[in-house]
Amino acid sequence: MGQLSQVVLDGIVLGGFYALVAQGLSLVFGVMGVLNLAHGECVLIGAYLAWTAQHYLGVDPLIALPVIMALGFGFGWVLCRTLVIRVVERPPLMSLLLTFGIGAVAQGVLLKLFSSTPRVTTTGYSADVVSIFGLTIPTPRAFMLLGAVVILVLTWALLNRTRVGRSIQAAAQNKAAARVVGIDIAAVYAIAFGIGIALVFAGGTLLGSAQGFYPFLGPLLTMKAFAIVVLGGVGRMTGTVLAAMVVGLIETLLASYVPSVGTGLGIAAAFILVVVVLVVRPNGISGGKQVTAGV
Amino acid sequence: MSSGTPTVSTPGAPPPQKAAQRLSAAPVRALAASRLADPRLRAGLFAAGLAALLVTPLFGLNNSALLLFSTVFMWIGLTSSWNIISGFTGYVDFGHGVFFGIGGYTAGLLVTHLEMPFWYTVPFAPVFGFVFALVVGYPLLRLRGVYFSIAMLGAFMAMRELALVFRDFTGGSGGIIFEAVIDRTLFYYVFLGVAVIVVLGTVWLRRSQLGSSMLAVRENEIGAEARGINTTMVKLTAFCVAGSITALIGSLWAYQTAFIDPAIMFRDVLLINLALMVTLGGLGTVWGPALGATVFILLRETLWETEGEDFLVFFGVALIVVVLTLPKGIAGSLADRVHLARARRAGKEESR
Amino acid sequence: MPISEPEAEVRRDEPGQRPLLEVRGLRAGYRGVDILHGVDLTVGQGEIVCVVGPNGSGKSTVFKALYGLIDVREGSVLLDGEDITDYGPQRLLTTGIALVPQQPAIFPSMTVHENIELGMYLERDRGKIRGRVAEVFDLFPKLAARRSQQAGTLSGGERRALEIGRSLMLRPRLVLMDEPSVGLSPVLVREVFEQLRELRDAAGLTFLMIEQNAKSGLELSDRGYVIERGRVTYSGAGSELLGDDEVRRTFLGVGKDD
Repeated sequence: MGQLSQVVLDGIVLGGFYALVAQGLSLVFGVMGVLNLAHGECVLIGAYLAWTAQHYLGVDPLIALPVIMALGFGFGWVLCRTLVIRVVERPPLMSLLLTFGIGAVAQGVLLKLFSSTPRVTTTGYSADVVSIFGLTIPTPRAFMLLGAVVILVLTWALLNRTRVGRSIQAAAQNKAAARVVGIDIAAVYAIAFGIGIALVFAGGTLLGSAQGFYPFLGPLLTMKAFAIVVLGGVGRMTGTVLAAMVVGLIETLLASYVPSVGTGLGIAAAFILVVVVLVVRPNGISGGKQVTAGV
Repeated sequence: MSSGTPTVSTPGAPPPQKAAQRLSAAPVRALAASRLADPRLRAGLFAAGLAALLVTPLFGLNNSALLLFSTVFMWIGLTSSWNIISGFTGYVDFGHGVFFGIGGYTAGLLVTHLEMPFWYTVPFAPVFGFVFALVVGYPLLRLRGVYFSIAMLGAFMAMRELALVFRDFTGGSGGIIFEAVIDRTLFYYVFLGVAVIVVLGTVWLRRSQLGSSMLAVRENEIGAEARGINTTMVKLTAFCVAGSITALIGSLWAYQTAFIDPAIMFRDVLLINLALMVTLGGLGTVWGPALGATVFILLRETLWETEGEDFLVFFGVALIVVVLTLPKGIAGSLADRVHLARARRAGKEESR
Repeated sequence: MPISEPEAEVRRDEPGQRPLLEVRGLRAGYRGVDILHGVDLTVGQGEIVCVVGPNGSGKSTVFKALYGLIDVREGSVLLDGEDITDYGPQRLLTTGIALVPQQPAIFPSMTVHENIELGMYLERDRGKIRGRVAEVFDLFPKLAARRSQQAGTLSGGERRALEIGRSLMLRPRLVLMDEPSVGLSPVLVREVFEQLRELRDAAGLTFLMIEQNAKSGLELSDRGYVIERGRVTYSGAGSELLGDDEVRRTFLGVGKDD
């Protein structure tokens, strides 16, 4: 079964990327209760930033990664302080509409700047492969998995081992309590949103050299991230990673074993999975569960 | 003094009539005040407006004007039906375009595979919309609001994928071409009929027991359940009704356009437009959706000739601005303003 | 509604000494609509003072105004002579006013110990935090026994104790308590109030609370204020107010409905 293990490996690599993107969505949702419908577009902004850095400045995406993440944090922070904060404690429709609008604007701007032609960030190692146990991964995909793992571990440490992380956890668990101990909730929101966007900018950067991307990819990525968050339980990092692996695996398995139509069914598969899980657990995955930002 | 001060809300009072009165009375308060609260006068005005619209095509409107009118009517139908699930029960359906696509494809597939004449397929569209709403709504409507919203967006995207992928059955991205019927006057009346029925249906619903139950679900679902309302049934009914109307409109639109493919039947812009129009007009109000749709389409047609990426940017910005400045829509904001003014006046009187 | 002059106040503190908290002519409200029309009240060092009033009387607005959650349009709030009227929540904490909110205010997925530690979120010195945690556990031995348990598993009374204990981390001069009896059985309410008295005696703390449950609120505190329609209508020792026919007739009758 040489082929199956290869497909599984591919699924894990893809799952690593999904975990990164879904963790960003989950963090923001867990802390603020805002489902960011512009999430996928933010992944793409990261991807286009890396592409631009490579294409015009000749900077390798992995070198640019920390800078792009910093930009992501800044972008998320500003977006939160200026727009998202105004809808946080309002009915969910408001934040859905707002982020939907932000997503539409981002998609339009990306189309204007980069057209709908798919791009790939080409690097010196784009054509290389890494082999382990007789299986092969293209080098950019290996970096994608590695990068995702490193960033997720750092995120876990940030959320669980630092004062900022503690304040984010506190705000996610009980806002009233966080307020009375002197935590500035608006600041926590901005930081959490910033971290969330930094994570997806990183995801986009890593994705960009591993496969083609184009502006219309945004909503698909948002949907997959959402499916993963629902499957894994909001704010539970291990759950998110596991669910991301499941979705990644299903996708690669479908693409390899369902002839001709398998590749186009990513959302349908993820969505059907979500519905099945919700039928099995009618209260919803996180119904009645305590929500935390990390762990 | 305090005895004459209106209270902001009376718990336990039947909301429908009171709210309906407030919403329709608010915008015109400055003009004719209480006169318009008279239901007979409003019914008269409605009948007069409808009569005017019925005879308008007889005075030789050109095709593009007819198309503009039927577009407005279509959107009134779409927004008003979306409002039943999203506005009345508070379960905001972010993938409602899925029903539009299902309607169009029901017609398209029946015409191509069973060689049915188009008009015979019309009754099937709402039926399929209803069935899809039932199957998807039963598990999804048990979710908390936000989950439902985005899960419906997932359903929308999944159906688009299916329409694209099973090309032997659906024609894939090549789509399906209908025998063209270019009779603008016909579609003018068809969509006018749909719009009138949906709007009157909404008015009736808002006053009915079922409508009150929907509002109860929106205000406090657990409380509604405790008062003996079968909330699952109420939500499902709202969803199925909204879904079947939208599917019907989708099938009619497909025939008017004479062509369908996944990209136009399941288009994202439909979702943005629905959200934008209803938010603009006033989510959960009776006349807000129709008002928002009319204002929006007329504005778009007269002021903007945008396409593609400009279109996206424009609509995105418009959505953001509406959410931040008019969160309750035109109808809701006007009603609020009147309330606030009353409260201020009352406050002043009391402090004297 | 006849509005009587505030009666002579019973003070625990020495004559001539200024009260710990002094609220003068407070006017505040929302969106231009006043809810408080000039509220005066004082809290002496080491007192337990309770503000009662029917729903919508403005008693919770008093707290919001004190805690900087709504704008004060007129009047002033002095803490030991310092004008704190315009202070926001963080500044109030560091100035010595802690708040125990009405809604559940624990972090359910953190341990009791972590919850207590967060009471000193504004302090970065680890050593100092450790010392204070030990002090708080000394005051609340029941909590100390459960220090590594998740706070979400505590009983209602323990949660309230945790909230109070955590609010003491910054050594506040005044603790505001928003409806401490909400969600607790009468037995637990009594227990919580007794705990407040013990804390007052042991650590010299001062409490100002608002209570929907007027009877137990007034019974168990030193002094009370009755607020109706945004004004103080009665004030005096808790037992005095409870014995006042006027108060009983116009106000405590409302309490029977809950």
